[in-house]
Amino acid sequence: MSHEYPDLELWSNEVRAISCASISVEVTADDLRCPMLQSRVTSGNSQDERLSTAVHLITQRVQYEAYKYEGTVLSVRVVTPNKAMRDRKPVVAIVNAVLGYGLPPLVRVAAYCGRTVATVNTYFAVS
Amino acid sequence: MIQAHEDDCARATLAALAVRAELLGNESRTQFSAVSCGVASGYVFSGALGCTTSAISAESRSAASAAGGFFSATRRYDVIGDTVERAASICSQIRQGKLDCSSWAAVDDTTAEAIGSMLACSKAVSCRTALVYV
Repeated sequence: MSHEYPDLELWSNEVRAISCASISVEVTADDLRCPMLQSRVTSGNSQDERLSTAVHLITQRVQYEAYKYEGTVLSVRVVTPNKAMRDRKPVVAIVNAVLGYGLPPLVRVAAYCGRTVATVNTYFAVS
Repeated sequence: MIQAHEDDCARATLAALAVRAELLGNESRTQFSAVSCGVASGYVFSGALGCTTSAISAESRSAASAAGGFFSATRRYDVIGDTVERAASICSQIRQGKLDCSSWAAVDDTTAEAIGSMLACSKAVSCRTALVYV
């Protein structure tokens, strides 16, 4: 499937009024053990594999709901929680998603096609 | 002021609530135990940010790989500004338990003012945050 995109440098740099939604999902060890998630793991069954599947599931949900309301998924990032972030809970990863509402339609289209705008940086360092 | 929709504040809030409901699941479909969302509205700088990979030295790239990290210095479309930070801050307050939002989305005062006539907006829980329920 091929699409024609304008060059990134052609998109204007400007100050815009937008609404920004920040969503944070705590993924615990118990969440990774739920049957629904295990049934979706395609290869292996290690915690890393289950976490990878969970991140994929979260990204799908975020993208679907964001585009339903004509927004843009600006980023989906996985961070390894430190001791303070865990707060005595068995949190293995925190997935942070940022949605933007008020950006140009061209950006929304490019993000929807998975090109350039929405980068999913996954960094698994589960301790 | 350039805007895509007149009701971007409401769209952002509804999307955040929808993501939250989907990821939390229900009694028959438990998914993730803790999902928090914060919404803020205001001015941001939008455009192509970051540097191109070719502008980074090979030593920096190899050092990042050797450290076991990913190399994310890419030029892409993004937004930066206080609004993004404020949304993340509200989200962080919920995660730390400073705001009790069991079935609500926390929005800043600008967003609450904009969506006041569209969505049910509760009393402000702090001077700069309100809760929205659909």
